[in-house]
Parts: sequence; structure tokens; C-alpha cells
Amino acid sequence: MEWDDAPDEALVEMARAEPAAFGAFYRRHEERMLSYFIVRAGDHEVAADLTAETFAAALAGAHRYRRRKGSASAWLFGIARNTLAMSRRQGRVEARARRRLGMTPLVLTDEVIERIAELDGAALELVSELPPDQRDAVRARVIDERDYAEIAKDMRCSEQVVRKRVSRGLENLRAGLEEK
Amino acid sequence: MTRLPQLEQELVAAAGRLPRRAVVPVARAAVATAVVIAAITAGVVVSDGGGRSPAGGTAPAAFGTDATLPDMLAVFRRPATPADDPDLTPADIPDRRPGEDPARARRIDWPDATIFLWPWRDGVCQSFDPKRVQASGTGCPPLDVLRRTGVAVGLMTREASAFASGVAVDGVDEVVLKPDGGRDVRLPVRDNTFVANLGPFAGEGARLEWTYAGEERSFDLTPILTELPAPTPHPDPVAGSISPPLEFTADGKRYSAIGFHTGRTAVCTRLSDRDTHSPLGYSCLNERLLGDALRRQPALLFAGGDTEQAGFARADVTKLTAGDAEVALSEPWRPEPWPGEPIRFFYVFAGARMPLTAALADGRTVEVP
Repeated sequence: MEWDDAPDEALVEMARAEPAAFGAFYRRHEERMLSYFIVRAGDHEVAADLTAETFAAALAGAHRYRRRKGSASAWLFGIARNTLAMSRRQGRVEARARRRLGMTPLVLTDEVIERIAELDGAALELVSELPPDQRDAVRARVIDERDYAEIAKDMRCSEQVVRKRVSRGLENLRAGLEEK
Repeated sequence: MTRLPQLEQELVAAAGRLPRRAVVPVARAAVATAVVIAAITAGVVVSDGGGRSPAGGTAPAAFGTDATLPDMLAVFRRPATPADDPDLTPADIPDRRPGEDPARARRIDWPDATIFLWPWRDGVCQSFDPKRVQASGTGCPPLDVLRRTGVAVGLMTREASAFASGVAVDGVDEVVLKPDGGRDVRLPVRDNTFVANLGPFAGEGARLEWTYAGEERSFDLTPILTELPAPTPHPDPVAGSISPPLEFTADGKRYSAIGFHTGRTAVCTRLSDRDTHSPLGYSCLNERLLGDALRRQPALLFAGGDTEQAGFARADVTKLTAGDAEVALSEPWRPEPWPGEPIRFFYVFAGARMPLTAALADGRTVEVP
């Protein structure tokens, strides 16, 4: 399509003038963003919701993006991290940016969920590539949703060590997804 | 085809509905003073506002260079009452400015916050305590800022909340908050103060506008909001930024502490109970503010809890003492992606702020401001 060869930065900068440019930016980053949230949220519907809110926030804030502060991809993942953190604090996926933009809620049919679920493989593949201590900690905490204390008991280490492994594992996953 | 075609269509449609913005030069307001004295993870930045072209019509003149605080702020012309006492002693303000006198404070209650104003030789200090949010902060803009711009803006963040507050001279009756993409909020000025609850601020921008001496003034909050650390109660360390653990005993309790970088411009410390491994608190400071502070002074005490206070020090600080309080000082480490020299973190175990003395590697001993 018309904008598909343009660099990310140009797509973000042109978002308000040329809506199709933001569409191209979305297509380019959709899978990585969904994978990122699948790993962190562990739920396909939540991952879709977080993805929608992240892109909406990016569109609403596109006029504030500055190349000198980093790549558009890094900027987008920064918004994703904020969206995730905000949603965790509030116990629900924030929809503020979508409301502001007048967007309607996502309709997640079985077909759509299946398409998202296909990405599990890519995300889990990255998990399996982590160092063993981080891999086991991330699987136990993020995928199996177990308590830190319980994981620490199984791994015969302190809760703090588990938290550190999960944190580092997720950071490595994020880096892997951003590189991919 | 994308996996969420509805989302792609919605985004493109939403982009088409957004207003096309004319490209205009944006005047970035200069940061006049930056002060962070706060409860854990709270930060206050005080800045003055930039001016725009003069408006027509007759308007009161700006205050002159000889205008004193009572000349400019009516709240200091009313008699003080017992309710105005902020219950602060000089020991509570280790970095107090010349002539700073909280005993001459005036209290202003807002639905969202309690504000105390008190004078110092060349300006006014503002203590800001939001209600329902465990945080507080103090900033001390110079009088010159008020004389030039009419308003000194303070910004404070804590977890998911952000507040803008400020001091406004007589004649400035209203400040308008203009959130990016949102509706304007008119903030009345009462007793020379105003408060704006910005709510969750991640990724959001906003501007404050007011009129002073016939000139439209504005202050862009966006650069400060976006440079502040992510508002998270449990900051995530960046892999590779974590310091070796500092393990120590204070008041008979065993502690462990680490320093780290969040990757979002904040350098943090975390204190944990060494026996139960449960975190006791996080203290985070914007890396730019920290870098500026450590260029001026060897150490910075910036956050305080009921029993301990946290700070950062330069690597050439070999020992810190604070009266008879116990002080734990870490080994130097570099919280990547920290751009500066290696630093240390420290904890002072005392119920109140104590004067801090730093012993340096070159043999000197200096008082920490």
C-alpha cells in the first residue's frame, strides 16, 4: 500500500495529516504488540484490548512524538508499558484514549481470538529461549499466574530472587519482541 | 489482513477525525527552580511561565522589582491564625533557604489538597499535600518569577495521580488547564493559590494558561510530565541496572536494599526486610534532577518515610553521618542507562531529618545542603 515503505517515524509524524499513514504503522506493529501483551497479560482478549488502547494513545499523542527522543517503535513500546502499568493498577484495561478518539469497543469473535491465539507460539518460543532460571520463573508467574511465594518455595530461593528473575526475563522478552 | 481489522479501521477513521494542527513555534518555559523534597516516589517541580504577545487594552502593570511578598500576595496581608501553623521546625527542612520561615506560613485548604505558603528571603515556599494520596512536596520559587510571570507552577506526581498547583499574584484570578485533546478546565485562584488534579497522566500532555499584566501567559506541563518516571507503585528495574545488594542492620532489624534504573528516566532504591524478603518501600527520582543535584553537591537526601530517609551520593563520598542516626551507604554502581559517573545510594534511619555530613575520598568533610 501507499505508506508501507515509509519509515515508522514518518508514519507517526504524518498520522494527523494522512490517516492511512497511521494505518500502515498499525499494520507494521500489530503482531509484535499483541505478542508483547500476550506474554505479559496471558490472556488473548486482554491482549487485544491493551493493543487497542496502546495504538489509540499513540494516535492521540502522535503530535508529541519527536525523532530525537528515539525510534517510533521504542516510543510505541513505551506507551505499551505505560498502558500495561496503568491497567494493572486499575485492575482493568484503560479505555481513556479510545473514548477520547470516539472509537467503539472491539468486537472479539471466535475467529479473531483464534487469529490472536496463533501468536502464542511466537511468544512462547521466545520464552523458551530465555536462560533456564528466567524461563521457569516467567512461566510460573506470567503464564501459570502463581504467587511469588509459592514459586520461591518450589525453586528453593527467596521471593526476591524470583521477582528479579521474572523482571529480567520479561525485560529480555520485551527486547526480543522489539527486535523481532 | 491484520489480526484485528476492526481496530485498524477504527484507528484510521479516528485519525481522520483528529483536528489538523497548524505548525506554530512552541515556547518552552524554562525551568527556574527544581526541588524535590517528598514522600517516597513523589516529586515536585516548580517552574515559571513563558509569556506571549501583549494583549490590547488597559491592564494593571506587572509588579516591579521592589515589590515584596506581601505586596504581591494578599494572603500574607491577612493576620496569621493558629490553623496556619504547618508544624515544621528548621530541622524538618534540611535544605532550607536563606530566611526561610515556616512559622510565618499561611494555610489554604482546597478540596483536593492542603497548601501552606511561607516566605524565604527571595521568594515563597509552597508545601503541597494532596488529600487521599500519601505524598507531599515542597517548592520555593523566587519572587522574581512571580514578578515577571505572575504565576509559579508546581507539579507533583504520585503513583497514578498528578497534580499541578501554583502560586498566583494578586490580580491573577483564574488559571486555565488545557489538557491535550480534552476540554479546558477553569481553575479559580483563591488566597493566591490554585490546584489542578490531573488524574492519571501517563502519555498525556497539558498546558496552563493565565493572564498577567495584560499578557497571556502559558506553561507547558508536557515536557515535565513526560520526563517524570512512570507512575508505578512498584517500579520495574531495567535488567543490568541493579546494584549489588546492600545488606545491613538498623535499629535491630535486618534490611536489604538495591538501587536500579527504571528505564523511564528514574533512578530508584528499594528497601526490603531481609528476613521476610518483603519490600518496604521504593524511592525514585528523575535522573535529570538527580544528575543536576549531584553536580552541585556530594549527596542528596530526597525521600523520607516514618523511620528512614533515602538518598543518592556521588561515588567519592566514602562515609555519611547524620548525628547519631544509623546510615547505610552502598558501594558505587552505575544504574545503566545512567549517563553519569557511578553513584551510591544510602538510607538514614531517623524519625526526623538530621543534618548530613559527607566524608570525601580526598579527605575533606562537607556539610550536605
